Amino acid sequence: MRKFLTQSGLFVALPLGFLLLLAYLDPFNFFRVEKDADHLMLKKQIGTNINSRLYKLIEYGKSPTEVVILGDSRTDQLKTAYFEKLLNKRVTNLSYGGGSLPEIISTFDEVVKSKKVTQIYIGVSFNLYNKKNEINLVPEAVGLKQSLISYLVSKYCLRASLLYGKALLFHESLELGKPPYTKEEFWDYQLYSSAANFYRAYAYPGEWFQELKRISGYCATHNIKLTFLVPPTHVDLQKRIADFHLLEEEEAFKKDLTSLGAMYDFDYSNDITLKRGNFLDPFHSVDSVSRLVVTELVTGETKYSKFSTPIKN
Amino acid sequence: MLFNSVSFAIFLPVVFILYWFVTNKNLRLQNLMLLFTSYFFYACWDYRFLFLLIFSTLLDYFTGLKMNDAASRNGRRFWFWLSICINVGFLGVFKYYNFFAESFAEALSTFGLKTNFWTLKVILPVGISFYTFHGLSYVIDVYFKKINPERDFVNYAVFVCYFPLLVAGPIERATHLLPQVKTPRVFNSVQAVDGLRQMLWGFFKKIVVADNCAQYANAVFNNEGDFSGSTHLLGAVFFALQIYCDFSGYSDIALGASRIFGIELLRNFAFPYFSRDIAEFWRRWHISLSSWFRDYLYIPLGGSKGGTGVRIRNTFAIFLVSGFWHGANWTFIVWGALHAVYFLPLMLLDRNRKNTDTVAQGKMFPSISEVVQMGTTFFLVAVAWVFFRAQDLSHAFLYLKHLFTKSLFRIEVEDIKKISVGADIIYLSVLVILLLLAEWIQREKKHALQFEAGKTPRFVRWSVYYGLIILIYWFQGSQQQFIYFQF
Repeated sequence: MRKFLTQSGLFVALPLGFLLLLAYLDPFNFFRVEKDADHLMLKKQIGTNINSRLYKLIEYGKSPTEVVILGDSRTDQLKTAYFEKLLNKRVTNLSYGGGSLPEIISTFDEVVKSKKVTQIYIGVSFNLYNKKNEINLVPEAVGLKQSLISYLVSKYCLRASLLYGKALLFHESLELGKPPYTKEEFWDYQLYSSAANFYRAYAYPGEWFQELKRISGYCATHNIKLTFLVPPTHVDLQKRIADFHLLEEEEAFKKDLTSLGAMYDFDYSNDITLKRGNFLDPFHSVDSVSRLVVTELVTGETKYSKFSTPIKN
Repeated sequence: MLFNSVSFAIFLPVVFILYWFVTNKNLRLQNLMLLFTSYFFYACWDYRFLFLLIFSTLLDYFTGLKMNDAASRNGRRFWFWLSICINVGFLGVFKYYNFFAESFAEALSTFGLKTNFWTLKVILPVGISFYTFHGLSYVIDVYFKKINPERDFVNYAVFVCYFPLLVAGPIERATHLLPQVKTPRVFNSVQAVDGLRQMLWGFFKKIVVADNCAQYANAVFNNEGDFSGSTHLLGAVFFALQIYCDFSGYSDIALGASRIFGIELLRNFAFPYFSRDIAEFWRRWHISLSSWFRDYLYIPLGGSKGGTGVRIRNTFAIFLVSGFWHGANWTFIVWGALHAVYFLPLMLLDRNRKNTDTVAQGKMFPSISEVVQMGTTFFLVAVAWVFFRAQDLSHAFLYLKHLFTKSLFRIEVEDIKKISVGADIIYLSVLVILLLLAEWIQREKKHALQFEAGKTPRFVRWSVYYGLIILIYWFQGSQQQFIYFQF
C-alpha cells in the first residue's frame, strides 16, 4: 500500500503543479481581475478568442452593469463606449461571435440573476430565428464559471493559458482568428457559402418564440426596458433569403419580434444596406454604421431603422 | 454524480481512504461503509428514488429467506412469483406504463375506438433496469437452488447497490459478486494500478471520443434530411463510435474503480467492433446483459435445442426482449428485431459459434477476408444503431431513406463544415484511429491499457498515461450524460 500511495503521489504531483500554474496564469480572470492593463488586454484578446462566452460571463459576474446587449457577432460590433457616452451608464456587451438564439436566451437567464439589469438590447437576425441553428455553448460556460476545478481542468483554460504564457514569455503579438481570405474572397464566401448554410434548412423556432415571450414578460414585470433590434446586413445578403424562398418566414420573424417589445429594424433596403462600403462582409457593418445604429437605438430618432412597438389591445 | 465529474473525483479518494484506512480491520464495518457510500452516490442522482432502491433490496432479500424457509413447494413458488411480479411491476410502472397505454390507445384508434388512458408523468429512476436485474438473478438462482440465500442484509444490499455498478452495470450475478463481498479483501497494488489504468482508458473513451462524436452524431441526427447520404452514413458511424465509447468507457471506469477496492466485476465489453459476425458481436457487446438473457430467458425457453421453429422463436424472443429492456419505444424493439434478423441465418446454418476466438489471434494484421467480415459486421451494426438513436420509427426510416441515396457515394465538404461543432473532424478522426489501433493491439487482453508487469519500462508506461491525460485535457468534448443512464 505504501508503494502504491508513494507512486500515486509522485504521479499526480506533476499534473497538480501544472494546475497551480494555470491558476496563476488565470487567462479568463476567474480568480482575480487582472490589474495590469496590457496583460488584461492580452487576456481579453485570447480569452474571447478561445471562449468568448466564458470570458464575458466571468467578466460580467465580477462587475455586473445596468445595461446589457445580447446577440451575435453583429451586435458584438456595437461598442459599449458609444452606448455609455449616450446613456451615461456602464454597459456590457454579452454578444458572441457565432452566437445563436438559444444562447441569447440562456445568457439572459444568467444575466438577470445579478438583479442589477434595468435595460436590455437584444439583437436578432433572421438567420438566428431558425430552429436548425440550435447550438448553445452558454450552459457549458456557466458550469465552468461556477466551478473552480471544472474551470481549471477545462480545455479552454489550458489552451488560453498556453497562448497567454507563450505571449508573455516571447513577447509575441497575437494574430488570432484572422480569416485566410482577401476581402473580396471573404465577401463571396459569406454570401454564398455561409448564407447557404444558414438558409438551406429552415424550421420555425416555435419553442424559442415562447422563450422570448417569457423574457418579454419577465422584463415587463421587473421593470427592465427591453429593446429588440435587427442589425443591418447588405442587400445582397437580404436577397439570398428570397433565393431560398424564405420571404414569408422572414416576415413572420419580424412580426414575432414586433409582438414582443420595442423593435428597431435596420435590415431592409436603405441608404446603409445598399452601399457595399458600409460593410466588412455581407453580414457585418463597419464601425461608422455601428455608431449610427447605437445612436438610433438610444435616442429613438429613427433615420435608417423602422421602429415598431406591440399593438396594445 | 457522473463518473466524469469533479464530484466523483473527490468522492472516490474519500471512499478509498475510508475503505482501506478506516474500516479495513472489520469486514462488516467495511461493507456497511460501502453500503452507505453507495446510497449516498445514488442519492446524488435523486434521493427520492433511494427508497425504491431500498424497498427493492429488502423485497429480494426477504424473498430469498422466505423461499428457503418455506415448508412446501407451493410456498416456495408463492414467494418466488410474488417477488418476480413486484420487481417486474415496478419496472413496468416506471419504465413501460406510458408506452403500453399509448400503444394500446393507438391500436384501438385504428379500429375507430376512442380511449382516454391516463398517461403519467413518470420520472424513470436511474439504474432501475440494472438493480432490478441484479435482484431478479438472485431470486431466480435461490429458487432454483443454485445458491443459498444470503442471511446478512448488509452483504446482500452491497451486492445490489455497490456504487460502481449501481446506475449502469455491469449486471452482476450473486454467484460472482456475493462471495467477494463476504470475503475479507486484501489490498493488491497490481490489481489497483491496473484498475486505475482501466479507468484512465475509460475516461479517454468517454471524454475524448464519445463526447466529441456525440456532437457530430447529434448534428446529423437532429437535422436529418439536410445532408447527403454519405453524411448520414458518417452520422451513423459517429453514433456507433459514441455509444461504444460511452458505454464501454463507463464499464471500464466502473470495473477499474471496483478493482481499487479489491472487487472484480464481470467484464462487459470485449472489443465488439472487431467481431467477424453478429453472433460474435453479441458475445462481445454488453456481455453481462446478453449472458443474463441467455441464462434466464433463452435457455429456459429451450435455447438452440428443438426444431427450427422453436429456435427461431427463441432467437426473436431474446433479441426483442433485449431491445425492449433498453426502453419503452418501438425504435428499441425494431433494433432488437433487426439484430435477430442478422443473427438468424448464422444460427440456421449452424455458423453462430464459428468465431469464438479473437480475430487474427497471435498475429499483427488480419487477413483480407477478416477485414471484410469485420467491415460488414460493423456496417450492419451501424445501420441498426440508427433505430436505437432515432426519436421514433418514422425518424429512423427517414434517416435511412436519406442515407441510401446516390449521394451516399459523394463526399460533401460543405456538410462536414456545417456539422463541425466540436473538435476538428480531422483531429477527431486521428483520435478514433488511435483508439482503434490501441484496442486492436491489445485485443487479446482485458482492456487496451493493460501492461504486463515488468515487461514495459516505467518511463514508457508513465509517458502513455501522461499522454492520455493531455489528450483528455486538450480534446475533451462538451460533457454529455452517459447514454445508458436512461435505461
